[in-house]
Amino acid sequence: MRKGADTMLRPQSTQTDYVKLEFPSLPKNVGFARSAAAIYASRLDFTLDEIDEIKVAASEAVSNAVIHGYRDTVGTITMEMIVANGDLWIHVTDSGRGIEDVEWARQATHTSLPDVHMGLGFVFMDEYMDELVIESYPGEGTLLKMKKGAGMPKSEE
Amino acid sequence: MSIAIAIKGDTMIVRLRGELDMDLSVPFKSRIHQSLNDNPGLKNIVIFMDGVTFIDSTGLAAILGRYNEVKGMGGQIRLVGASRTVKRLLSFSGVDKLIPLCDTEQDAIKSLGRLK
Repeated sequence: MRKGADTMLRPQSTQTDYVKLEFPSLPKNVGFARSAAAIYASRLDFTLDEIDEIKVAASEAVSNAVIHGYRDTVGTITMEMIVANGDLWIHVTDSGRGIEDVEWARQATHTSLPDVHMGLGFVFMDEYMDELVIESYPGEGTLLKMKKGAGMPKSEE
Repeated sequence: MSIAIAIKGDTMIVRLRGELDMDLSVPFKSRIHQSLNDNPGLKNIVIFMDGVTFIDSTGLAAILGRYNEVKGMGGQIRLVGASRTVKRLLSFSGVDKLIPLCDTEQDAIKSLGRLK
C-alpha cells in the first residue's frame, strides 16, 4: 500500500469503546460480521428496526469488500465498531482493488456485477445509516465509515 | 440455512430457511437452476420467504436473477409470507414491482393460474 495511504485507511481506534474484528474475505464471514455489528449496536439505545438497518448496512459493507475489493482473491477485511459521543460508527476496511469512481459507484444501479448485488449496496448503506463516508484508493483498498445515532427523538412535528 | 424444492406441475415450490445473503445466494441460484434444467416444462417459481430472517442486496439480486431466468421461459415468480423486514427491502429495491408478494401459497398458485 502507498506510503501514507495506510494511515488514511486505518480506522480511528483511539476511542476507548470499540471492538475490532479481522477476518478473511469469505462469503460465510459476512453473516458473522453483521451479527457482530448487531450485537455491538445493542449496547446503544437502538430500536429493533434500527438494529435490522445496521445489520443490512454492515452486510452490504462487508459484501462489498468480498465482491469488489477482493473479487476472485481472498484478502483480509477489518471491521471496527466504535461508540463515540453516543453514536455508533462502523468502519470496514479492505486492501483490495479499490473503487475508481466513488461518486459513480454510490449511485443506484451502477454496478460492475449486476447479477451479484443489483448495485444497491451503497444505496442501502446511505438509506439505513445517518452518514456514509467512502475513502478509496484504486489498487490499494477501500475504507467505508458509517455512522448511526441512537436514541434520536422520532419527532413528528 | 436450508433450501427445499418440490415440483407441482409447471411450478417449483422453494422453501428457504436462513439469511439470504451472498453465502446462501450461491446454493439458492444453483439449486433452482439445476431443477429448471432437470424438469423441462417447469417455468414458474413460488418461493416461501417466511423462514428468511434476513436479506440484503446480494439476496435480492439472486431472486431477481431467477426472475430473469424464468421470464425467458414465459414463467413468473411469486414470493410468499415475507416478514416485515424483508418486505421493506423488497419494496425499497423495487423488486416487489416485478415479483408480486402473496400472503399464502393458494394466493400465489391462483395468481399464477390466471396467467394461462
